[in-house]
Amino acid sequence: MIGIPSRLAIFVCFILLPAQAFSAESLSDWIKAFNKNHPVETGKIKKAVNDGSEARENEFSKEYKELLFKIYTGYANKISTAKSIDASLNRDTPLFEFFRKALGKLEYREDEVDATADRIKAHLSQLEERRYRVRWRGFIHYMSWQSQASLKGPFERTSLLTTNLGFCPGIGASLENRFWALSVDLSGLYGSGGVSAIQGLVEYQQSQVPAIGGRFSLGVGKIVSSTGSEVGLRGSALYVRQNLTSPSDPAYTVEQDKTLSFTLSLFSRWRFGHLYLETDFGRTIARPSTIWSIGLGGIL
Amino acid sequence: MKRLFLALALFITPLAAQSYPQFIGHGYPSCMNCHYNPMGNGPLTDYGRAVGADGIASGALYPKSWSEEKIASLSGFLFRTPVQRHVRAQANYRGMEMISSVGTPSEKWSWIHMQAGGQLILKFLENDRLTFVGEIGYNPSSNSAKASGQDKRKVRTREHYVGYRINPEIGVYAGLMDKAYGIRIAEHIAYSRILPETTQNDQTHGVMIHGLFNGWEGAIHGFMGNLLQARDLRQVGASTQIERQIFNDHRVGLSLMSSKNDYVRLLSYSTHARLSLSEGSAILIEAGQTERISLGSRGDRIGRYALLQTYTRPIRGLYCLTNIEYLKSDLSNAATTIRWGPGFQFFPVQKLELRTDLYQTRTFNPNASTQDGWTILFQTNVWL
Repeated sequence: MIGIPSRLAIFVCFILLPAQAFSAESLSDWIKAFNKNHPVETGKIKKAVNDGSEARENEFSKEYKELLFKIYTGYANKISTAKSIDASLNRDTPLFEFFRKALGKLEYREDEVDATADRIKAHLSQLEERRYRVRWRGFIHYMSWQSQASLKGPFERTSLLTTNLGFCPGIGASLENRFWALSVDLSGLYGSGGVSAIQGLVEYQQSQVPAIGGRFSLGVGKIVSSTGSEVGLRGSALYVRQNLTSPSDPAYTVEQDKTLSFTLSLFSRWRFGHLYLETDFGRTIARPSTIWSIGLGGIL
Repeated sequence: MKRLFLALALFITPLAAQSYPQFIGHGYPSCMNCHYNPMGNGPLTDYGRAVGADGIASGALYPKSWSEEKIASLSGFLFRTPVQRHVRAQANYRGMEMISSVGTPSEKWSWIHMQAGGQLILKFLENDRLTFVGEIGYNPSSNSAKASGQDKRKVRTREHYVGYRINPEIGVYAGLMDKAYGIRIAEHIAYSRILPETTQNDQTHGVMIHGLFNGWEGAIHGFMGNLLQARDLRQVGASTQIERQIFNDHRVGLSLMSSKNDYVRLLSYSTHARLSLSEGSAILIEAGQTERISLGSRGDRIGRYALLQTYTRPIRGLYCLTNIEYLKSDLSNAATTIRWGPGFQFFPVQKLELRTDLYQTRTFNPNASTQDGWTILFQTNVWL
């Protein structure tokens, strides 16, 4: 956030001032006049602004006040044309703020000064909202997924469906602003599931079969509230190893599904300060399988 | 073109005002803000209808020249601004296309008329302290009630009561109402409503005292069953629901209900939270348990349920929701069911709600592995 400039920031900006190249020549001229033509008044107003002390309005000429106002509106015009927060804007904003305070001390053209300040504040706030930043996250998800296999006997083949539950701890990063977020997540997976089927006289049943793997996801989300609630789409690659044992009868074997699958899911995220709750619901591509997860995370 | 679409939307579609517990995400923690019944459900107050028109429904289809005040002024019955303060009328229709067993040979499509009725509200005294609310209409009983032969009525009243606010903090309500228990979500097929028996036809005659003090809100409800039911089926008992506002915007609460008829005794208890995440984003959580004791026969069981509903509002009028439900209908049984599904709720103009829900039901059973069950719902809700 761009806040009230410190005295040091204002001081540094004034030191740098003569070297700056301003887009508007007149602003450059006014700044020169401010620094060179009115040393006494400028000294007083700097002291008043920096110390927070009173400035005697009758000690400043109308010409000088008008000069301050011109510089103030000059900076306002420059800031309002900025498309993003950059070094130039970071230099100009404390100076704009300085001249706003100076004019406030002198109670000069107050309505216009306030209106301009509101306009610039709104513009800066908009730039801040548009600015992308990277956030790192840590999370743990409770996930359920199904995997396919088949029980191959001497005469027929029976589909096996394993319903799994597991935990996915991981880390992620988001490139986000106030409106959009691109995210990448990487997590490990540990869980277990059960399967049962009957083929002829053979009943095949296994429970608590361990599953281990990982998930890599790329997502794009829309941030829909000032608290950071987000809804979006996510594509994931899911790698799972789960070994179903074959029946003791050598005539029967279990053929397992591929270990790598791809899913497309709808996710939502709700933030509570640095913590968040996330839900995810999706389908596996080219396979009739659904995946869902609910998770808790923290912004690192 | 916009005007034409608006005119069609307003005059062709049928409609009943509806506000929901997730609207805490818009800064409305108490149902009393928008409903005559302070615990929610039933007809909306004038304020509630105006909020529905201005704050909830999309404004995209209105002409740009229309102000929010003009839109709100159309929120009354038949799009008119009330000219007197004592009588209010409302009418509503809610229907649903249900596609069950999706993707299986037994896939079935059916249109269900859930409700088509009218409400009349009479209100008197300063700040409408005295209210009479009545509702009647085509309200078919549930499939299970029909199957059991318990209830075949199609025209019924789900609500008729008189309410009197002694002061802004305390009110007394007597008549046929929903039981004060848990979060009153719209989904009557939710496990959190089925287990404690607070579904769409489980209203009861009784007396409810409602209070609202310094961040606390709650009700105590004594009831004698629905007097329109056979005497032996009436559930007689009491319930209470209490909520506490925390961190300015959120609410947490507890509910307790005990009732019995000639065949069964029910004891339900739950805890819940409604979290506001601003601009329409909200999270509803409820977890509870129902002890069901059969009188005179075996079959006692304890069921456990949990609900997590999440909402986001990408644009005004449109809500994306996730409905996650947990059910263990009998704690002595290993099987657990989790129902999961995304949904979209859309209010294109005031007095019209369109909703799509996808329900995926997955059973976890160590002794069997089953395919997921799928149901798709398309709901239309219209109110005048």
